[in-house]
Amino acid sequence: MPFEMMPGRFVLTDTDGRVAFDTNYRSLHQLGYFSGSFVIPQRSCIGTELDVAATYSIGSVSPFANMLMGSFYVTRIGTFPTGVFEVVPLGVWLPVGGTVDLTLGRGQTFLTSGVVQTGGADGSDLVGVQQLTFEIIGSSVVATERAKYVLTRTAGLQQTTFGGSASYQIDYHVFAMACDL
Amino acid sequence: MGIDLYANSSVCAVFENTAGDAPISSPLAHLDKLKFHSSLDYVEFDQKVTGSVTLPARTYGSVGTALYPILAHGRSAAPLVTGICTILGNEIPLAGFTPIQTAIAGQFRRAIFVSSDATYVYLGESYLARGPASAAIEFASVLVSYTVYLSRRTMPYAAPVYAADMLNLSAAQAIMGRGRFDASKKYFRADSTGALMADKGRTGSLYVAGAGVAPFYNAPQWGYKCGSYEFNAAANAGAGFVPGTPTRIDA
Repeated sequence: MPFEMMPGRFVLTDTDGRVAFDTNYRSLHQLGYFSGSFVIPQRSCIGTELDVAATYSIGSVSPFANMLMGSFYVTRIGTFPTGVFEVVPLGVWLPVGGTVDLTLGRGQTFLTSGVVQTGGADGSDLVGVQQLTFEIIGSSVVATERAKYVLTRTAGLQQTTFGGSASYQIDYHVFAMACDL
Repeated sequence: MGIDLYANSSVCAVFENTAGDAPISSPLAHLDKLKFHSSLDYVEFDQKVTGSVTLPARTYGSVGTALYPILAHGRSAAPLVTGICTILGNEIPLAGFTPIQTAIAGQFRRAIFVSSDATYVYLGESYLARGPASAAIEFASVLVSYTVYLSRRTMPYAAPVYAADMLNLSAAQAIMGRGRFDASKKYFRADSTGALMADKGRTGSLYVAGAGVAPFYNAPQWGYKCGSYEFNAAANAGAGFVPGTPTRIDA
């Protein structure tokens, strides 16, 4: 397990000679760790539009943190979505980073009272997406939910409630990192 | 520029010494000079898996998710995973849901993701090819090549208790920060030549081009951008979308 110090550089290698630590590389410093859960409520499209922007606080972190690592787990609570489709996998851990779609809407129409049909006329279905992103905003770590569903044609409709997403519990373990300094 | 290694019974630090010893006592104020500090933590890397999956064609009317096991990891719990994929020659980070096939302003799409449970690491797909008959969207079968990194950290994560020496450099071991760094392990690090791209923020946008006029209303559009990989640029621009930036890391 040799180590080597020289002007401007410090290197550690393991017993196989692999460089395990080298000051010529930039480290990914973990500045914070957060675990917990939050619940996204059921979203119902009453009328012809659903428009949601919600923020779930995860914690505070040094303003130098600029990247998240970690995992989260989605559990559906209660009823299954109606009028839209659940497109997020349940029962697995998903990596934190980037944006995940929870539900998508397309292809269920509402031309007959009380019945959700498929394959109806163009524009008579609920179109939209419900997204979830873990991100750093300033010195706050948050999860943001953004959902927008629109019933794109209302002529001929026989009902006024068009469904929406289920409620979801999100369990998370998030590491706030400083990268590319 | 010199590199200093400093340790006493309560702190261990490796840092560029252009600001003197300040990084020892104020690490967060000198992160740009810091290489290691015992008050911080470092995410361990453990295993890299490469391979490819052929996703089946998705016919008109189909919607859902599917998981394809790519590794029986043999651990007691689900490992933290992240990765990168290659599609049609494009190197794309597996950040959130990564769309690989879309139609009609993103309203129909197949996206892929990486995930894990207590038994397997998966490449997964989420797809919606369903809608009015006039938009009979189908997705062709597609080959996805992937590189997935597994961390030693498993979920649910329990932070370890570090109890080793503050500094121990010997022929048998190299430990700093009571075990926050251990040369027998690997750690993720930023590396401009690294193979893995990790996203630093939002990748999805949501945009509506005005409300429309009754009884016709404008459908929402959604886009994606991570680095140079982008879907539905018009929606991204209209939404005032500020995407995260990917960075290359390695281990």
